[in-house]
Amino acid sequence: MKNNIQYLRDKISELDFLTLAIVLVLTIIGLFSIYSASSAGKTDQGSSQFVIQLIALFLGLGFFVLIYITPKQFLLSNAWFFYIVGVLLLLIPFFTSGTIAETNRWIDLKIVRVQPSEFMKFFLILILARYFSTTKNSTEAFRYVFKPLILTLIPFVLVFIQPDLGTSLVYLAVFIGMLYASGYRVYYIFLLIAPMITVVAAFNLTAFTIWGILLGLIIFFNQTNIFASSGIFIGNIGVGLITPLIWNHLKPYQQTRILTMFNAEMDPLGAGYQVLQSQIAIGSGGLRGKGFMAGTQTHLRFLPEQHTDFIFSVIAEELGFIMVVILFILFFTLFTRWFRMAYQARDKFGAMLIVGGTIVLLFHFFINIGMAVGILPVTGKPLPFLSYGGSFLVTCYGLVGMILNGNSEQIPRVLTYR
Amino acid sequence: MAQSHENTLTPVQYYILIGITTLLFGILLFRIYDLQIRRYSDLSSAAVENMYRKYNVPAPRGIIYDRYNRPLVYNQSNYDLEVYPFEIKQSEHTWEVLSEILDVPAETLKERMEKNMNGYYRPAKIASSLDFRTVSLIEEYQLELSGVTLTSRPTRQYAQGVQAGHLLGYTAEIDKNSIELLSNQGYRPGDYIGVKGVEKSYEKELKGTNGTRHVRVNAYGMDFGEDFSKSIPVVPGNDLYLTINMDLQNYVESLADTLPFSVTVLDYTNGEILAMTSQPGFDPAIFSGTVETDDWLALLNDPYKPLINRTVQGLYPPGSIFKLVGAVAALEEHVISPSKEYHCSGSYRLGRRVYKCWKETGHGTLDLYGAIENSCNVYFYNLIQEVGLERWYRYGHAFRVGTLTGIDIPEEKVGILPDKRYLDEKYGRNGWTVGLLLNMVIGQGDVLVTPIDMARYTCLLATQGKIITPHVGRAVYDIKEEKLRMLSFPEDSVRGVHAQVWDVIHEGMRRVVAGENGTAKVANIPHLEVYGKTGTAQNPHGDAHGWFIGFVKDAQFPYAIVVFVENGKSGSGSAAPMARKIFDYFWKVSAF
Repeated sequence: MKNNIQYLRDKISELDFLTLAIVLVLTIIGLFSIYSASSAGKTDQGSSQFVIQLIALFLGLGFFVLIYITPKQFLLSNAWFFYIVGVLLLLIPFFTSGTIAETNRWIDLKIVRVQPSEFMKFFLILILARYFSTTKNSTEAFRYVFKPLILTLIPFVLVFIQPDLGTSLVYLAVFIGMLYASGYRVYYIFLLIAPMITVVAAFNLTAFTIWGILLGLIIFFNQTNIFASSGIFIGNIGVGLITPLIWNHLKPYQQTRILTMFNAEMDPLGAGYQVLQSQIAIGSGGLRGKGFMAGTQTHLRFLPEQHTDFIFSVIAEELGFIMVVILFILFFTLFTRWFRMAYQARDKFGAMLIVGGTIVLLFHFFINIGMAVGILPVTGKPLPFLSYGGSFLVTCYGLVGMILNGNSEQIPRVLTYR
Repeated sequence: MAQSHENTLTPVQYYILIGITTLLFGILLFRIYDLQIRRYSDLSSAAVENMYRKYNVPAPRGIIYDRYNRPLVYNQSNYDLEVYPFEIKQSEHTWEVLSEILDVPAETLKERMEKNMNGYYRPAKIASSLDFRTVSLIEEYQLELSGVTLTSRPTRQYAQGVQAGHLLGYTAEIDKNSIELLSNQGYRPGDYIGVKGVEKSYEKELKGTNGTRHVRVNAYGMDFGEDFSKSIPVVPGNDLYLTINMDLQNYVESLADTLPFSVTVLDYTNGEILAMTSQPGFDPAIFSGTVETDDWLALLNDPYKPLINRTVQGLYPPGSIFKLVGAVAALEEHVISPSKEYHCSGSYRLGRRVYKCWKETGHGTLDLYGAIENSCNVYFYNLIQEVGLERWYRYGHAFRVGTLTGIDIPEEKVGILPDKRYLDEKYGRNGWTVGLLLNMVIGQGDVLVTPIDMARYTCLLATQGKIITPHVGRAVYDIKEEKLRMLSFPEDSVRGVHAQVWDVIHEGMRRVVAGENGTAKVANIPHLEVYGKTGTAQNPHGDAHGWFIGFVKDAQFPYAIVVFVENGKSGSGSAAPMARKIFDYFWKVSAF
C-alpha cells in the first residue's frame, strides 16, 4: 500500500506539466473552432458537438491518467497480449457488416462506435517498443527487421483493406520511425522505403528513369555483395513494372484522392473541390483572420467535414496567420520536447514508446494540414487535439499518456539493449 | 535530466528527428504563408464570390411577328423544378415528397439530378414545364422541400392556328456538347437555343442576354436578399418581324393532306416570302417544354419524313419548268426566232435512241409560244441541239440555278446545274453524249433543284432579269438601340438578256395559263393576269413529281408562286390546281 502511494507520488512529480498545458490549450482552441464550424447553418447542433467534444476531453484526460500511471513493466510484459487482442478487434468489423460508408472501420457498441484501428496504434507501438528494446540490433539486417515488419504488416493490411489508406500509412510511419530510432541503419530503411518511391515514380517514365539511376548509385555505394545489390535493384524495377496493374485494382475514390494530390482543380465536385475551398478559406483568412465565428467559408458551409478533417481551415480563416504561427509554435514545442525526452530516456523501452507516440501525432499533424493546404491528398486524417471526434481525441490523450509514461523514471526489469 | 545515464538515442538520431520535424513544419508554414499572405487578395476575393449564390435568369427570346405585326411566336412563363444537391442530399424525406408530387420514382429524380448536376452548390434541374397543379402542390409543401426551388422560364407559345414548324423552327435545351462550343457566346447549361427555321437563323437576334441574380446566402443556405449592385440585368431578345402573312401561311399549310408538297409565295420585286411551307410538317408547339418521346418517335418514323424541309432541302429534277432556260438561251443567242417552227410527232430520234414527248400522239407543228404553252418536249430537243450545252449552261448559271439562294432559313441544300466539266467528271470524258443534254433541257437527267431555287428563278422570269434573295426576315427591333433595324438582302440582275426575249417568255407563260391548250389552264382566274409554267419531273423511285411556277402581273399582288407536289403524277394535275386555290385566295382577300 505504501509502495503504491509512493509510486503515484513519483508519477505525479515526474509529470511534464508543460506538455499537459500545451495539449489542453490546443484542445480548448479546438473546442471553440468546433463550436464555430459546427454552428454554421444550424441552430442547436453546434453546441451539441461542442458538448460531445467536451465530454471526450474528460474521457481523454481519464484515459491519459490510466495509461500514464500504468507501470511500464506491465505494458512491456503484456505487449503480446495487447497486440493479439488488437488484431482480433481489427477482424471484427469484417464479420459485422460495415454500414458506415461501406467500409469495415467500425465496431458498433450501440452507444458508441469504436474504431479498432485507433487502439491498434497503441498496441503496435507497444509490441514494436518491446521488440526493439529487448532485441539486440543484429548485424544481420534482414533477420532483425523481419519480425517487426511482419508485426506491422498484419494490421497494415487489415486496415488497408477496410479500406482506410490513411491509418494504414500511420502504422507504416510508426514502424519506420521506431526502426530508425532503434538504431537501424539508414541505408536499410532506405531499402525498405525504396519500393514505395518506386511505386510513385512508376507513373512517369522520366521520374522512373531518374529514380532507377539514383537507386542504382545508392545501392552501389552501400552494398558490397553484388548478388544482394542486383537482387534489390531488380526487385524494385519489378515493383515499378507491376504498379500500373495494382493501380487498376484500387477503389475509384482512392484513385481520386491520390490523383487530386497532383491537380486540385481536376475534379471540382469531388475531393478537389474540398481542397480548393479549403485553400480559399485559409488564404482569405489573411494575417489576422476574419474573426471568430465570422468565417464566410465556414459559415456558408463551403467546407465539407469542416469540424473534423478541415478544422485547420476554419482556424486559419477565422483567426488568421498569427494564430497559425501560434499553433505551430505549440505543436513544434510538443514534438521537439518529446523527441528530447526520447533522447534522454532512461530505458530503451520508454524511448521507443515516446518515439512511437510522437510519430503518430506528428504524422497526423503533417498529413492533416498538408491536406488542408492542398499539398497532400485528402486522406481524412484528423488534426490532433483540434479536430472534432471523440475517439480520436481520446486516442491523442492516450498517446500523450504513453509518451509521458515512457519518459518516467521507472525502468522495466527486463534486460534492454541499446 | 542529468547525464547520469547513457542516452538511448544517439545525438545524430536525435538531431535527425528534430531536423525532420523542423522540415515538415517549414514546408507547411511556407505553404500557409503563400496562401495567407502572398495570395491573400486573390483568395479573399474568391471567398467573397463564394458568398453569393448566382442564379441564371434566362432572357426571354424575342417575339416573332408577321408582316402585319401580328405575333406568331411569343413567350409564356413555364416552371422548372431545380434542386440544390448539397442541401437535398441531407434528407431522404424530401425525395419521397417530391416523388409523390411529381409521380416519378425517387430514383429517377436522383438520376436526373446526377445527370444535370454542375456542382454541389448549384441548382440542378430535375423536372421542367410543370403544370399548374404541380406548381401549386410544390408551393404548398415548401416547408418539407428544403433545397428545392421553382424557377420560371419563358417558353415559346404560338399564335392560334400557326403550325409552321419548318419556317419558324423551335427551341430546345442546349445539349452538353454544344455548350462547350458556345460557352464563349454566353450560353449556359439549361439555356434554350433555336433549332431549325428562323429560331435558328436569327438565334443571335432572338436570344437576348441572360442575366444573373447575385443573391447573398446566409448560414442556413437560404436567400438573404439580392445584391443589385452585382446582379446583371436580363436583356430580352430582339423582336423579329417577318415578311410572312400569317393568314396566307395558315392557308397554304392546309392546301392538301394526301401527298407531300411544298409551296412558296413570294414578292418577286424584292424576294419577301409571304408564305412558305413544306408538308407534312410538324407543330413547333410540341417542342415547347419537354418533348414527349411518342411525339418525337412519330416524327422520326413517319415515312413522309416531316422533319425534312422540302422547300429548302429537297432536291428534285425541275422538269418542264426548266425549259424556259433553253428558250431564253436560244432567243438571246439568235439560234431561233419565236416564230421558228418544229414538228412534233410524239417522239424524236437521236442516233439509235428515241426521245419521247409527253403527248404520244404528238403536238404537230409548233412555234416557240406553242411549244411553251403545250410544254412540247420535241420542240426543245430540236432547239437545244442548236444551242449546245455550253450556251445553255451559261444562261442557266446566269440565272443562278444550282447555287444557294442564301435564304434566311437554315440548312439550305444546293442544286446541280451540270456543265461539261461536271459531266466529264461524272461519266468520263467520252462517257456521255448529247442525249444527256436533251434530257437536261426539259429539266430531267442530272439537273437537280430545290423549290426555293425555283422560287428565285420564277422571280427572275417575272422581273425580267432581277435576282432576288428569297427571305422571311423583314426587320429586327433592337432592344439595346431602341430602334427598328431593317434587314436587307443582296439583289442582282441578269445582264445581256434583251427585253424582247423576256417578252416572248412572258407571252409563252401567259399562254400556259390562258391559252387554248395551256397546261395550267386550271390556274386561270378571271380577274388576275396569271403567268405560269408546269412541270412533270420523272422520278425513278415512283410517280412523277408535279411542279407549277407562276406569277401575277398586278401592282397589288406582285407575287410569284412555286408549288411542288411529291409524286403528284403531273404538274397540271397536281401543282397547278393548288396554285389556282392560292390565286383564288388573293382575289378573295382583295375583295374585302
